[in-house]
Amino acid sequence: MSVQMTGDRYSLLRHIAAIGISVYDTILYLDIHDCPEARSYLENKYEEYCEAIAKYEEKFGPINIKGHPCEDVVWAWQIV
Amino acid sequence: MFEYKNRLQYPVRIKNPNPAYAKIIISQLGGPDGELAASTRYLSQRFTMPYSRVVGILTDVGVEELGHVEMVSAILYQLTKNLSVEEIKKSGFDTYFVDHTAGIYPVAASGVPFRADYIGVKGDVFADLNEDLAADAAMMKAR
Repeated sequence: MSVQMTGDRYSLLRHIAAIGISVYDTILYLDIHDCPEARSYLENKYEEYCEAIAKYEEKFGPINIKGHPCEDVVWAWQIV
Repeated sequence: MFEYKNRLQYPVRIKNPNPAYAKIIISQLGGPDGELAASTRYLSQRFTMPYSRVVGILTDVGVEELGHVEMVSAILYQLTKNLSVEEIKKSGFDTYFVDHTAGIYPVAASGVPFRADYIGVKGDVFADLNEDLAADAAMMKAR
């Protein structure tokens, strides 16, 4: 089963990926640096990240899979 | 514990299947310098690290590498979709296909299946962190 990725879906996923990298790299940085500026940056970026995910999920369904998903869920690697 | 987000770390969008590429890229999954080796290495080493910050780093990086395992697997899935018999034979993908069809099996491009001896886990902070440095250098060279 494959689902064609629309321009909108692709750009939303790219946006999530871009913010996600900032969030997770900042987390890695904070693993070994005690930096209040970085923590503040992380808080803001994480909020932006959650908003980006919410925007995607509103249009294309859940990203956070918990328990047993319904039968018609499209898995990430099936979106071409 | 782990939670799953149904998205790839970066979208994978391959329009034209190409099993010849898949034969090479599969090393990035199951080869000695691949993502499976990386994630297994860090997620295993973290248990005996004596410093909490280092445990945190190894956990974070190990989980990141699991995301990479998924991305590489998605690349391989899309490169090997809906292949004809002729495409399979012509690309040399037949030797993999005969055992695994289009399943995503962790193997190196040489055909050697993923092995635990690709990783070092000594339970010693110096040995393990040096293993990580060497492994990362090798991985960067492979890329």
